[in-house]
Amino acid sequence: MGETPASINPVPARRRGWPLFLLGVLLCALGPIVYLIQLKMNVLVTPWHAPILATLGVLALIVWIAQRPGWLRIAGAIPFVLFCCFEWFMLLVAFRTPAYTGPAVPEKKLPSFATTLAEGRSLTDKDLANGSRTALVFFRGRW
Amino acid sequence: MVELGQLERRHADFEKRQVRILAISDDSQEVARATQADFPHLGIVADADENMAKAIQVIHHGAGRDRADTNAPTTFLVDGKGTVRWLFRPGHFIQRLSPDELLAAIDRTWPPN
Repeated sequence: MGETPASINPVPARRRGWPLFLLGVLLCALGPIVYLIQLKMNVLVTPWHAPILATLGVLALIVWIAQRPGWLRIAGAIPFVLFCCFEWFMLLVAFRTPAYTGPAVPEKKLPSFATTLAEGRSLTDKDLANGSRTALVFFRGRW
Repeated sequence: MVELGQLERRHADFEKRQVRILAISDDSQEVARATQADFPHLGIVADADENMAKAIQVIHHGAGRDRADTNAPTTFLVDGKGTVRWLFRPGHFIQRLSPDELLAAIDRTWPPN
């Protein structure tokens, strides 16, 4: 009985995991891409899909690391983890507006004020009680 | 400004409901005039001293350019007697009412005959 040639019992190739890594990166990148498309279409809704997709991407990267733990893979995932945290921070903290607690609530009269229209004429609360219905749209200005 | 463009394009729907739109910011008069030229069917308010914003308390401190104060995006429906009938403030300043959402709020507040 001779030795078994190595070619008959080959060592199984280790899974490289590149598809999982690419999936994780793609999911992280998809959020901002979809948001840009949303802005181009003038759809002004909060992009919750972005941090959710990034979270799924990070989970894919965690599985990718678990397949073959190592410092190189961990280092490769860190930027995407930070990006995911950044997106959650922006939506949960930075972009939030405070709840309205002012005097102009339903069934109350507008408080007194005096300001100016773009054309230069004055505008006061009395001008908004002249029989016309009005939608007051406060916006952040022309940046 | 996207929001104002959307409202401008749908101005006929608001006129049909006899609702005028006043868009208020703390822009200077000069900038507000340019905005008025861009959106001729809207009423643009140059609230540079923030008198109206302070009275109605829509200031969002430190949220503007260079951490200056600015208006928190807020929409009010006011009837002919100056009484507030409805208000909306989004949870995030990147979110805005669409014209359809505002028209729906107007129809709920003042149902068409």
